Amino acid sequence: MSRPETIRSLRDRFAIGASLIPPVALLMIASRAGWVPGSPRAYLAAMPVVLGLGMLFPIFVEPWHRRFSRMRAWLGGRLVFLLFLGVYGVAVVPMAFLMRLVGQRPIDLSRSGSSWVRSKGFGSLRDPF
Amino acid sequence: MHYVLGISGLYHDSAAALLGDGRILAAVQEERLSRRKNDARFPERAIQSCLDQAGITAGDLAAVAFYEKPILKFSRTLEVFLGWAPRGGRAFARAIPDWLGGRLDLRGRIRSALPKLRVDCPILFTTHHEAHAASAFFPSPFAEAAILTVDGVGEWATTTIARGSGATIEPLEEIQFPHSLGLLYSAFTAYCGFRVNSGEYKLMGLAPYGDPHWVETLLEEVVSLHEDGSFRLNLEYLDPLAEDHLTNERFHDRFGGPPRRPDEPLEKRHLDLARSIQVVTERALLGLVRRAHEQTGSAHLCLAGGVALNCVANGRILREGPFQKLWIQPAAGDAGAALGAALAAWHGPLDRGGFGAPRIPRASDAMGGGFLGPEETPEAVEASLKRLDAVWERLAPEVLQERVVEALIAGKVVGWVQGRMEFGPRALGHRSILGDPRSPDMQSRMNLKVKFRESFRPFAPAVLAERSAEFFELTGESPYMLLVAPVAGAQRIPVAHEAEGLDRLKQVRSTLPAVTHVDGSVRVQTVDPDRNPQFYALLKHFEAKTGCPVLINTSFNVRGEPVVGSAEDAYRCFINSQIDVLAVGPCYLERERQLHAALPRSFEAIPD
Repeated sequence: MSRPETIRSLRDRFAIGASLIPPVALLMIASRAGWVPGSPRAYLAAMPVVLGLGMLFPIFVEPWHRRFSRMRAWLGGRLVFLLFLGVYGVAVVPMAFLMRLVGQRPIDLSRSGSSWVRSKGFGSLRDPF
Repeated sequence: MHYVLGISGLYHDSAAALLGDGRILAAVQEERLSRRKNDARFPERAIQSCLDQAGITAGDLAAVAFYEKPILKFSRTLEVFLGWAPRGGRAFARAIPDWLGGRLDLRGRIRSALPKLRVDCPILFTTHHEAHAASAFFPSPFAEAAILTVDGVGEWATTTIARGSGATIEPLEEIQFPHSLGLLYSAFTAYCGFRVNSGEYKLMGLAPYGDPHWVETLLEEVVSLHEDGSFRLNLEYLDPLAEDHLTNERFHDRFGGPPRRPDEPLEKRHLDLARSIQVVTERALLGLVRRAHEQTGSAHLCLAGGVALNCVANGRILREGPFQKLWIQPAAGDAGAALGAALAAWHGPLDRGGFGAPRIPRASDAMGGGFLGPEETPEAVEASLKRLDAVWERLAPEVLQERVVEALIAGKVVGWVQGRMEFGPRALGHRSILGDPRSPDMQSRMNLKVKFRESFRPFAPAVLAERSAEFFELTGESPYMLLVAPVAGAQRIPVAHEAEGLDRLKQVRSTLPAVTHVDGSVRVQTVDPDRNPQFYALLKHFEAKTGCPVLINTSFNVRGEPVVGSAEDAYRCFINSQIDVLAVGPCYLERERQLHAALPRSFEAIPD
């Protein structure tokens, strides 16, 4: 749902309105810490308002929804990247060294000899493995 | 009727294909509909288009076949990281979330994309190379043949040899990752500044400008070719998990510098490297072909996999290889694997979960000329043109051809959109830009002003099949533009002083300068009345007026754009480029009569 013309259902409208709530919630937290003007209560009261705006006038709110969606995706992508980079360092690299210590390497890096392997057949079409 | 849907995608070039009782009813690449070149997303639009063309819904499907075994591929991916660690962390952090985010549960993904699919409709999985092999053998005209598939990598296999007989494919041997010709060629593609999985044909087009200085170095240090046709890569020079390019510092030191950026000029060493890797690829392929012949003893060869789109190598296989006949799947890349998956399920034995259907090969082949995509009715074409405020004339077919031929003779560039859309990377005369091949400046004009692409890239000639031998040294037919052949001796014009590098482009070498490459070769399309009647009739008209049975035929798109699909795509491309005339369905449009000088483009441009 990235273009106004695809807003069709009530669900789309709700999604647009609801996507504006997390930024308002962040502003509420920031106002509590004194980083932004306004009272936390005002931001709390604004949450149902933005939800309602999104549902009643999705076309007007949709550009913000898209911007926040992009930011969320960007932030989420980076967090997931860092998480899996950590998994690689903590789990994959030690396991790889362990395998090499016991003389196993899953990929054949040798340069000599034939590289032909007798085919084992195609296997069942029903199985995804 | 039993309908089987084949799907490929989620890596690059997503596509769908539909069989009805084993007959190929439709096949469409997602990029043609989504307007994103090499679109890798799940091919929802292509699936819908196939169903629409057959006039059915997903509820009518007897089976769905996917072109890979996702869990096997995932396990290979993990094993490769284990083998490559501690390198590859960034690639791991990018690839694994993608797998866990839906690529593993293909059944769920297919069912959610096709909610009308019956609960008892089986979802089947071929291996990647089984799909390629099936796409090469089952539509071929051969009752039995050797099958060779060569590409980047599937599950583990990068190259396979199989024997096809009747409705059976028997896999014999394979070469496994990381030893991959596709990977090697892609590494050089990226190093020379072109995009992997789409720029390989640019590297092939660049090769004749260079000298093969690096061949011995490559064979000694980067890839070893063995007597038995197999090969091994030296991974000390390559990084198969790198994201932006596939080569490492050692490679860069050995071959004269860092990878070329797309906006940097091409240097002599890039030309020489392009030539050298082309020579090595051809030698490797000839070795593989000889092995396939030894293993099967067949007189026929079927080819598929991305490397089978290397039409220069294909020409050598035909001329120098041990096989009498060669058939190459026109959609040899991953898009064609959607068709292969469906065919493998249809002909696959019952105990493997297939339909066990017999096969009767056709005299020509079962691809229908490659015209397996959607077609718009004349009314739909006119409605699109009206919506875009276009100015057109609706003409009878003979009059339309007459006017197009007149425009071609006047040196104009014509956009030609007729009939069903092609399946595969080549435009074969249904979504084409046409020009007069006798004009010496036509190649640079069409490259720079019409297609906005590199001037070094040659165009292909479409020739009347019965007159092909007069112009090209080609034995047999080449209806899918997958073979390169030398220009016939009688058509050649000697060059007094050979220029250097890209300057060779300006020298006239034949009576058809616009389609003759600097080494005197051409990528031929033979056109016959059975497969391609409309385009054949146009060529006949052109021949009747000029005596020349050849036209320039290049895909109807500009740089970064997928080949046009609809009349609307064609009109936008026509307006935004320097195409002079557009013939779409029965409608004839001239540039100077149009109200628009430019229109918003309908595609997402993909950089080189």
